[in-house]
Amino acid sequence: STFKSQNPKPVGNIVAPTSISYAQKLWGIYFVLCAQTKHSKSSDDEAPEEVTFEDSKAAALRSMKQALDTARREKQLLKEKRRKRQELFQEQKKRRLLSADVLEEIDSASSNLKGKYTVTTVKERTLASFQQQVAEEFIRSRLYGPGTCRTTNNEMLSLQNKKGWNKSAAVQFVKKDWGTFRTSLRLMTRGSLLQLLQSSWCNVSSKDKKLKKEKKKTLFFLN
Amino acid sequence: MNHSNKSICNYYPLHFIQAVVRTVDVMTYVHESTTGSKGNNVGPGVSQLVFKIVWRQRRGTSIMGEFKVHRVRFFDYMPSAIRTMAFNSQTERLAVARADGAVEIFNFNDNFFQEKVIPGQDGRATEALCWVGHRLFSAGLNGEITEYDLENLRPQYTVDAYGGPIWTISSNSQGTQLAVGCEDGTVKIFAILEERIQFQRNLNRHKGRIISLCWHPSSAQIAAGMTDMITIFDAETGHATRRLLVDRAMGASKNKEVVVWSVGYLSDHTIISGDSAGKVQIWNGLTGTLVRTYLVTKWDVLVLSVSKDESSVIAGTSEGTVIQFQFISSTVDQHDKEWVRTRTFRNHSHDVSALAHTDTAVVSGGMDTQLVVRPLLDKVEKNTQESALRKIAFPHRSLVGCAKKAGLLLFQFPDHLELWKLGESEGHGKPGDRLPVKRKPEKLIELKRKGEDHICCSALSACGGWLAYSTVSSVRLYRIQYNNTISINKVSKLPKELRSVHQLCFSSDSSKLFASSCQSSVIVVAVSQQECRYLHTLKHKTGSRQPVHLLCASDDGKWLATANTDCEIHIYNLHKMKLHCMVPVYNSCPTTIAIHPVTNNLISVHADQQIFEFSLVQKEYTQWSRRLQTQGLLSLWLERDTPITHITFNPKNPDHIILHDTYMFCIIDQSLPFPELNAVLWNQMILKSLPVSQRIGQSHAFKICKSFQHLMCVSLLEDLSLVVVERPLLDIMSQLPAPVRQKKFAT
Repeated sequence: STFKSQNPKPVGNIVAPTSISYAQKLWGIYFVLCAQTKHSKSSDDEAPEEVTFEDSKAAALRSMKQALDTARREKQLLKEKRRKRQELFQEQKKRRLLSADVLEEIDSASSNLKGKYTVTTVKERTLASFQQQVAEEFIRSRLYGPGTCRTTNNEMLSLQNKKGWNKSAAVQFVKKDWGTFRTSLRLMTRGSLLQLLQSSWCNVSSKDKKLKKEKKKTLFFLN
Repeated sequence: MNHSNKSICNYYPLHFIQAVVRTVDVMTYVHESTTGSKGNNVGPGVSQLVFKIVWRQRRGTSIMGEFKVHRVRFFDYMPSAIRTMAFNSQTERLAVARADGAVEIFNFNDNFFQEKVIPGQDGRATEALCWVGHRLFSAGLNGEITEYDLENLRPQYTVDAYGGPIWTISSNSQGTQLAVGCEDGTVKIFAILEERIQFQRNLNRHKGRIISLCWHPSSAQIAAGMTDMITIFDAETGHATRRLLVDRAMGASKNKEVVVWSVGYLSDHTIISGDSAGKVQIWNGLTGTLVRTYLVTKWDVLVLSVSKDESSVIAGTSEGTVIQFQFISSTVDQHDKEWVRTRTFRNHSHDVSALAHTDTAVVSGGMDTQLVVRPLLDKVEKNTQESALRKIAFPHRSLVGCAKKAGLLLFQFPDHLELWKLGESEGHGKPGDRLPVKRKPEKLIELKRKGEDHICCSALSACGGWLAYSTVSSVRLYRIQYNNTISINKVSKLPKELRSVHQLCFSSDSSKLFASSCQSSVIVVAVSQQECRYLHTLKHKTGSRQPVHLLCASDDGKWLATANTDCEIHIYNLHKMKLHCMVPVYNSCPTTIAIHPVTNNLISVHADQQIFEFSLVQKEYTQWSRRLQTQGLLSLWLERDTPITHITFNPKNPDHIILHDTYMFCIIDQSLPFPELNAVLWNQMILKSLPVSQRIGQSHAFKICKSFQHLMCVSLLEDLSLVVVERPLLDIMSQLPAPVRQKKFAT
């Protein structure tokens, strides 16, 4: 490729600076502009178009209304779309949860049966008990669900020890899981317990192997 | 006042936890050293230490009470959270509903004694309670409204509301209608009739569940709290007249719907609401405008309660605080009254989900399972017994049965029973020593109940061969045999008279079972290897319909004593199978009774901590009892805030009466003088420090030991070893649900 020299030869019509003053330049531009506007008008003698205040006001209002209407329509459409999508997701979630629920039960039950076993019908989950589970889950999620900012009994008691009159050590600093939600599992209903195990809660990640084992154990116990 | 039970837990809660923590640390250390690699494997979860405590007494240098103590901590008693409560100002009774469906009635006129317990049921999930006159109704997430039979301690009937789970129930001021708020968004009105309730109509249905509701005192309107709003209904037409929109929380939770957990409706049409965004809002119900907002917590305001005179409102939060608002004026002329936030009570560690505002006190309960009564200091006299804070954490009845001859313990849980054999130790030691455990305690049987109803009462015979329990629907009797292995067999055909049983008791020779039934009657059945045969029904003559809550038989098999919640104590002669006499009625309910094995005197301790001794043969109070009443009990004894729940006797020394409450056990020596009014009640340490010759002047009849807490049962076995069943409060606290995370400075 060819190199361009540092100072390329100027191309085009570059007029060398003349001695015309700045003010003169401005006046020149002004006259040119006036000539242009004069040329754009069809006839010099006609009075400018009469636009009444009411008309322009009406026009402005109309355009504003149109804009609002379109915005509202768009919002409605979006809302509808969102609502339909939300319903669909909830439906899917319900379906998904149920199947996961059933799979977990089958999984843990079958892994513990060896050889001879009998099949019995479990008590039918009626609509009433399902509704009760939903209600209990509502309370649980409002009070203990994500975003509720909870801690463990161990931490609360240890803080009391720290700030009390006689300051002392944490309550159980050796056993870190003393007084955590694991021990309060038994206080929950079966339905909410299953939901709990399927969602992430507090700051215990399901990567914890011990917790996974405990999940399986608890499910079997519930069966 | 400094030495009372209260100083340990009520006035200085942190101090209390300190003391218990030290003990628990020691216990843990013992566990780890014995279950770890040290070799002598005590086993996990077993905590039985055996050691000695000694008292000195005045008779020369002989040791009065030297006991081997079985210190038992393997009773995993776990109380249930308090979900809701309702106070009946006419009868001064508080009804408390727990998460397992149990309902407890406390008598506020009788030292807050837990008079009645109606056992729970699987799936009842009570969410709301309501008194209508003397009748008690509850509603729960199972969709049913239940009316309770308080004379027979069972649900009288249930009515399905057909609206899905029920969140709230409230009656109008006339007591003619009951409104329930349902999951499907309807408020249903039921008419309250003589023996039942009947569905009348639905108010207009709304989208979203009705979480809370409150009648206007005129019964013309109902305010219903839902999600994001409060709707005011006209009770006549059923139409919604106003809708008050509740703001959501600021900041990150803007997307979360706000739930109005509780509403109150005052006569001047002011509506007070508590919601999940932590706000208490005051609304003008006539114009539908918001008057004032108080942001009281970062978490939820779960419950509100309005005082009867409508001048004070209390709000309970998830933080464990109870906040009071009062309708007072800022200036002297009292013209411009407004709702002002006044007091904050911090008596709970977990969420407060139930409140009751009585005339003189604020009663709160919640997830930490304790019932707290906080008298308002502007309504009661300061620095008196009346103004003391009360915390009720343990039941007022014994859940532990002891087979004295066999050394067995029976633990009663709502859904199962556990039978344990106590361990053995060897060797001797000085007082305070821990003796080595030669054979560790063993759980022999765990018996799960059948059906949905929770266990009401249970009994174990003294020889350990018979076990019985009852629920509201049935009674079950089991024969236990101890050969090389334990075998338990259910006795199948029980007499049909054994129904609706509240208390069970075996005779000392294990030949008879006594069961208290309706109208304070007692059913006597004979139990033997072959069968269980109905013998007789013992009835009394007073006409009282109240249930029996205490039942005990004498050692010689001649006498049976019953006590009911009308404060009546009846004595029956079992040889003649008829009523012998009735002890003069004392106006405080007995909390425990026992018949002395040698003298056949009946010892009764009452809810106001008074002690009486009644001679069954002479049918009159004994000399000792009259002397005690004349002298009067020390105020420190009378001011104890937990009732005596068990009395037992010393086979070696007939002068001894051993009784206990939650924080201490006491040996009353009937041969020693009573303490003078200015004497020190807890004088064991003082006596220990004095030389033997000087002890005579100082010692008195009450020998109290506070080394063990919290006591569920203290009993004396036939081999003269003491069994102390403890349940430290810290162990209970460790298993409660999660508390809120409070950010405190410098932590």
